[in-house]
Amino acid sequence: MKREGRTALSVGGVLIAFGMAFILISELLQPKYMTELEEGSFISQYYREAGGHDVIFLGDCEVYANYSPMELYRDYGITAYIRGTPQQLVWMSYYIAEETFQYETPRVLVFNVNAMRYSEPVSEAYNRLTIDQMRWSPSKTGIILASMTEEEQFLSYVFPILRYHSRFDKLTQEDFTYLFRVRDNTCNGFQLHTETVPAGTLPAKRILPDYQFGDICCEYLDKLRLLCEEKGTELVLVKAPSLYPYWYEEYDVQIRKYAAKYGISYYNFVEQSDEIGLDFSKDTYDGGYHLNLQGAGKLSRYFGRILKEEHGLPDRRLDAEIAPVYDKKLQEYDRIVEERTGDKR
Amino acid sequence: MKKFRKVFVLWGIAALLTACGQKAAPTGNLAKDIHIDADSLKNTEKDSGVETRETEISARETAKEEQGAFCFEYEGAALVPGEPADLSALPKYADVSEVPSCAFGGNDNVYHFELFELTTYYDGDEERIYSVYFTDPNLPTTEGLRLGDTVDDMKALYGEDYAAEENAYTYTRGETSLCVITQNDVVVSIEYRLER
Repeated sequence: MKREGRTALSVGGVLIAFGMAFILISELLQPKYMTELEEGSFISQYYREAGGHDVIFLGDCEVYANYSPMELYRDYGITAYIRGTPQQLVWMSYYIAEETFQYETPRVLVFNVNAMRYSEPVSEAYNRLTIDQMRWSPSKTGIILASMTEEEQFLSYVFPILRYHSRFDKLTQEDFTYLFRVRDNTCNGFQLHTETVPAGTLPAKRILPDYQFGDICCEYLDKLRLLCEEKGTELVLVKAPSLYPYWYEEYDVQIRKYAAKYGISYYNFVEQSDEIGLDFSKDTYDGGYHLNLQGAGKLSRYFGRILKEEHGLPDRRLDAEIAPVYDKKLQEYDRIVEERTGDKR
Repeated sequence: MKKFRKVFVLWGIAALLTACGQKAAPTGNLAKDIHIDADSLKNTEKDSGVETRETEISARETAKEEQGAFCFEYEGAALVPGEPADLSALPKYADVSEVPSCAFGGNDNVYHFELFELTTYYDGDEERIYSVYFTDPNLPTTEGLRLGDTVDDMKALYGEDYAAEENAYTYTRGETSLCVITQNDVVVSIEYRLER
């Protein structure tokens, strides 16, 4: 009996040691997305901030580069978080919304409709940037199954070591520095860009063979709408004011029809660029694809007024619990801005 | 206990073999918003190293020889999708824009010429042709098709061996294609493209 007990203990010890080594190596080999491809860590930064937001943004780069939650709070006292990731496709947004509802129930969920034009997973690289650092839940299983390209395997998401094992000779300082710690590289999901690259000549507006959104996109937009209805959250659709890729009139008509059918608000900020006060010779960091800090400030202030006046979002600046937290965040945001631009707020 | 251990070990080996055996994933379509190339992801795809790359190139060359390729001839320059872009052989372009790559990591360059747009991508350090998009009805394809011609004109020049989807017709030669879009039987878009 004693001997059996000792054997069981030693086997247990070996298994535990093996398990720990496996986890450690696995963690080491995974990309950390801290200094390179930092967009890959956006998804996980939310978990440290989850809860208590009045607004959650979902979508691709057009949300995390163009809206600044800190400006929404500064001017309107709106608490918001951006759960945006590169090339976030519609089904990804749905599963991220589903996951978000496990942590909180925002009053408004803002979905950027740019992804409606993509009805197939684009590449494994993009999938990884959105999915790798998601916490395990049925939503993560769902997003993997919906997003995998033909070459990918579900198991490689469960055991990332199976995917990244060949990185062992390509590890950098970042892999060790951020093995057990992380750092935020966004302000409530907003990726701050202070540089200016004026918009120049854009490629010709190409004629497409078909402008109809794919069935899968329509299906997941509908699922997102129903999910919001079920949770009592108002869904708001937006199109960020980018000059390229072109947001075709044919796309806009489909979204307008959908919004009208279900009584959803839809704001096409491409059309409202002048009213927002955007100047694409100054307000963009990459020639008109995304807004820089100055442009994002203009858009956020414009949208903040809409959220407050048309969607009745409360001003939290005098809330005894929220205000101290957000005042601190705002100070940090202003410090970063000052550091990068020299402008004192 | 022994049985359990055996199953565990066998399962582990099977899992590793399955995953390691997966095809190299596509290098990614990382767009401008990512700012830097997806090297960390790309690197993981180079398991079989130089040999695989050489095999791929060799297979590509063989395919090209067997199937040919579309070549757009313009003022003495030959533009073949997938081939190196020799800008010195072309007249001066008016402008160039950098746009998120449609098919490869990083950004593409779009050169704006008077009658067409030339899109290039980078294959390592080498700039190659991705597409030629016609912007002027006065510009003919090598075989003579222009914007504003009819579907019958297109069929007379290129035959009926195309893939049709809605109002788009795609002729394929090797890894290159000629994509023609029509409206009411009139050609409204012409593009030579790399299909890879």
